[in-house]
Amino acid sequence: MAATLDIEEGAQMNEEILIIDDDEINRAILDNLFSGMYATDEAENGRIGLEKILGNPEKFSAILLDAKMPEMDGLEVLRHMKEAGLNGKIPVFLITADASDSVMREAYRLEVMDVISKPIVPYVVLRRVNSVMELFRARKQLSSRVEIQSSELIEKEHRIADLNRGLFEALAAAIEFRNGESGEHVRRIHDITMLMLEKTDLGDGLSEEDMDNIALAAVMHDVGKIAIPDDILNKPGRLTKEEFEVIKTHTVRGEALLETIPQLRENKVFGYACDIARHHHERWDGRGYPDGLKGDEISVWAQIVSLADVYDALSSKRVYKDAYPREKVIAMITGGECGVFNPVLLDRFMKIEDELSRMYVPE
Amino acid sequence: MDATMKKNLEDAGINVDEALERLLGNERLMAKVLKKFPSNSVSYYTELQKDLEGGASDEETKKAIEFNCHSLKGVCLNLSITRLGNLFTEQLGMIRNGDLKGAGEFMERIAPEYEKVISAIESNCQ
Repeated sequence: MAATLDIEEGAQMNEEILIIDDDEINRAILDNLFSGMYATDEAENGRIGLEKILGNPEKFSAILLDAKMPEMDGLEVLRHMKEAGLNGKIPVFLITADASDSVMREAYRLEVMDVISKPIVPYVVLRRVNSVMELFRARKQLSSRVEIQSSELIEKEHRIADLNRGLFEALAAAIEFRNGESGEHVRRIHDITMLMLEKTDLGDGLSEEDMDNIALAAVMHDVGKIAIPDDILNKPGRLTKEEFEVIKTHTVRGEALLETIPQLRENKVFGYACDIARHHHERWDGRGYPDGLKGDEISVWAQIVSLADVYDALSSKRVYKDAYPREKVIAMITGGECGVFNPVLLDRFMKIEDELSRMYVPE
Repeated sequence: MDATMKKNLEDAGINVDEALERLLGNERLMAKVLKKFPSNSVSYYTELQKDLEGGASDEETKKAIEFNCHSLKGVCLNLSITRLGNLFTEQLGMIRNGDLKGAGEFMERIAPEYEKVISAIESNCQ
C-alpha cells in the first residue's frame, strides 16, 4: 500500500521484532503489520517472551509487549528486563487496552519506550515503532562511526608522533655524520637521559610523556653544530682559542635554529629542546657556557644531558681520541676534569653507571 | 470480498472497513483471523459465563472474570467486532466497579450478539 511505503523506507529486514501477546489474533495482526519490513518472532506469554529476550538480548531491535497476559504480564516482563539492564537498550512498546494512569506511570518508570493503546491503529503503530527504531539505528551507526573516527585519529596521532621522532633523529644524525660519527651518539644520549629519569629520583614529578619528550629533546642537543664550519668542527688537532669560541656558539645557534621551526613550537618537545641545546655545556660551578649558569639555575634535564654527553664522548672513540676505559671515564668525571657536576646528579649517575656501561661494547 | 459477505458481517456488528484497514487491506488475513475468533474466544467466553453464574466469591475467580472479559473486549475491538466489543467494554466497567451481579445479568444482552457474530463468521468466512 502506498501509504505505508514511505514509512517502510529505511527499515531493514535484518532487524527483528519480537511480538509478545497471549492472543493469537492480536499476534497475527501485529505480525501482518511488520512482517513486510522486519523479521518477526512471536511469544505467547510474558515468560516465553522474556526467555527469548534474555537468551539473546542483541537479537531484537524492538519489542511489542501486551500488557495483560497470563503467566507473566507485560509490566513484569519490563521489571525483569530492567533488572537485566536492558531497558533503554531495546525499545519496548507496551500495548494495552487500558492505558490507565497507574499502568502508564509504572511502564514509563520501567523505561518503556512508548505505550500504545488497543485496538491498534495501524499507521500510528507503524509510525511510532519505525521512528524509534530509526532513532536507535542512527544512534548505533553514529556511535560506531565515532568509534572508527576516534581510532583513526589515534592512529594518525601516532603516525605524526613517529614522523616527528624520525625527523628529529634524522636531523641529529645528519649533524653527527658531518662530524664523522655514526648516529649512535645521539641514540645513546637519548637512552642515557631516559634511564637517568626513569631509574633515579631525578625524574620525580615528571610524567612518562614528559620523560619521552625530554629524551627526544636530548637527541637534538648538538643541532647548532650545523652552523659550525667544517674545518673547525672536524679539526683533528687542538683548537685555537678563537676556534673554540666558534665551537661554543653551537649552543645558542642550536636554540636559534630550533626556534625557526614553527611546527616545533606547537610541540611539547620544543621547550625542552631549546633549553637543552643552549645549556648542555653549563656547569654546576658556573664555569660552563654560554650563559655561565650556576647550580639549580641549570634545569635538571640540561644537567643530565651535559653529563650524558661527556660520559658518551669519553666512553667512545672520536676522530681526535680513542675510547677510554670505564675506570678512567669515571675517574675523569668525578675528578672534575670535564667540569664540575651537581653532586646529587653524580651520585644518581653512579647508581646506574653499571647499566649505562653496557651500552659500550669494546670494539 | 463480495458485497453479500460484507453485508452479513456488518449486520453482525463487524466494521469490515476498519478491520481491513488494521490488516493493511489484507482480505485473506482478515478471513483467517475472523475464522479463528470462534475457537479463540470460546474458552474466555464459557469461563466468563460460568464464573459469573457461580457468583464469584473468591478473589481468584474475580480476577479470572476480569481477565476473560478484558481479553474478549480486546480481541473483539482488534477485529473491529465493534458491537460485541462495546458490550464487553460496558461489562468490564461493571466488573471493575464490583458489580458482578449486574455483569452476570448483562450476559443476557451479550449472548445473542456473541451467537450472531459466531454464526456470521462461520457461514461467511470459509
